[in-house]
Amino acid sequence: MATTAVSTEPFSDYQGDLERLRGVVSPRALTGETMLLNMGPQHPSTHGVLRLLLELDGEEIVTCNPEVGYLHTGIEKNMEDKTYVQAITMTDRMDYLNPPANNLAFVLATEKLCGLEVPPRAQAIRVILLELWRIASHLVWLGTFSLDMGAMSVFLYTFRERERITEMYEMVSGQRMMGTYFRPGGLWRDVPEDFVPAVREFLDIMPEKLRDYERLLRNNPIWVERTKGLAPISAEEAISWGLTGPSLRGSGVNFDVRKAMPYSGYDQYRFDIPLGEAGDVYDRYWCRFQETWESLRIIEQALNRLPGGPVLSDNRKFTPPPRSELGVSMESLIHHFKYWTEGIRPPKGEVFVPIESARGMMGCYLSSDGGPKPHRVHFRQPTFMHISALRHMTPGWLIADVIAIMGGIDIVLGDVDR
Amino acid sequence: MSQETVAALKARFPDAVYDVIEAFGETMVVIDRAIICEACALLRDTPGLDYNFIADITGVDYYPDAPRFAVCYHLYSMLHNRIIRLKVYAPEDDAVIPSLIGEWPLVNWPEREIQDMLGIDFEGHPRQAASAHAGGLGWAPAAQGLPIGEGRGPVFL
Repeated sequence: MATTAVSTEPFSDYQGDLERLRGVVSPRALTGETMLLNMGPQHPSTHGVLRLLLELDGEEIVTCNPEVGYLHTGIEKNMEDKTYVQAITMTDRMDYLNPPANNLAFVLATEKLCGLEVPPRAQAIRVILLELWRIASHLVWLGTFSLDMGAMSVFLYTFRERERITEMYEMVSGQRMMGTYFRPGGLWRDVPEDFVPAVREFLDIMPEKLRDYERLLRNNPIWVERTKGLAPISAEEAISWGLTGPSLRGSGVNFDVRKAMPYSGYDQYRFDIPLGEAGDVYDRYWCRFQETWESLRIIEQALNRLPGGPVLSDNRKFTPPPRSELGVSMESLIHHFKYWTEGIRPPKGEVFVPIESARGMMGCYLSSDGGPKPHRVHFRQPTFMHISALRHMTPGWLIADVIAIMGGIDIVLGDVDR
Repeated sequence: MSQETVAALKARFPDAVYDVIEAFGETMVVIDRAIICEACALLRDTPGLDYNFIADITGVDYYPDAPRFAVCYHLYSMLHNRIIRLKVYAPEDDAVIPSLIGEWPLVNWPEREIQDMLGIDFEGHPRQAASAHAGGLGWAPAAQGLPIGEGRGPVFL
């Protein structure tokens, strides 16, 4: 029997008994008029373990029932058993294509509870890393999406450029992906000297690469034919289905958390929000692609104004003492020991912090009971809402279009099954 | 910023708004669970409030305190850029909250997630009886007081 944390309908174990699908699929499927087809859980285009129960009339989709939960990790529950600092490591593993954004949502919520001020240098470095990873995430999306659509070579090139970003993240955090670099009050440590030149070099080479990708795709008639005009979503529908991020902006809704509720100093940067018109798969691609250009703009501004100073708040109630003090101050040594063994104790209360991850609005609900461990952590993940909207987007389209529609909303299954 | 919202809720439901908590720069309104659908519809449909987007729904387990369960609704207004949290409580022996699915189709999965993870039922939701679900485990995986890493028997995926 399948243990699904979030099943859409109780159909996971229907075992060919069509009566159990009554209400899930159309009545025509019960009489055998239409065909039921399972796409996934291990289908190459699902990029994880997502199962779609498709009801087909010929090649046309009648109903589509997504089912998730095959990758359930229990991250939210596990975080309740860890101190606030330990729990950050869990967040990296959720949306594994964009780990700093996960860190940030949880760290911002902790900072809001504690009332911590983050020094300007830490804010700027956070923004640089967030935007680098937004680019990395979009590159992975572009590569895999094009691969699904039959434009194979883009994948090879985007992963080459993404490798540079993971190398830069390794430079600052010691890890290629799961860095746990953001901490309550700032950063784990300052960036090394060769970080800024590496980012500058990346900024220099990237525009040409982006133009290359665009040329590869825009002049590929198969790719354009398969995405243009496919599954258009109106603005009202997109909002009512809970879409956010580029999937929502593709429909022309100007909503970006970085502009609406700025965090980490995003209000000090000049950047535009690319908006689509038709709301089809091509517009969603276009929004994501233009966003990478905007991310480059933000990174350049952040580098140009990168201030000096500390990267961790000096509010010692919630931050560890610097290493240099441990050898000379007994109090600091005790504080260091207590910080890492007992953890911090934010005041009692609850907060909700939304941020703009690469896929859309990601929110962290954090409830504290005054103890050293979170009482309840919950993440509002964009992919979770996007996959639930697949049932509205796919009917009427062909089975090959499901791949394109699914790719167009940029799914990461680790994001869904926390 | 959110005084208007609170005032609108208080005017419409004078007896069912229990508490208004302003903390950490956020506004939380604790209301009776019976009026959650009407309250959300009021906030969405009243001109000047326009909470057109449900940013998040999450359940909280306050075990061993009573009432044990709470559900938080984060409503967001794209027009006015405001966010508000509505909170409803439900006791352990009657952990049922009216489903918002008639008002907002997008709550389908978030409500299911709460059903599966915490065992709170949503009345009117197409799939009821949370206790029978969570993959047929018979217990809620995210409930408080559930030991982490200790034996609950094997779980076959």
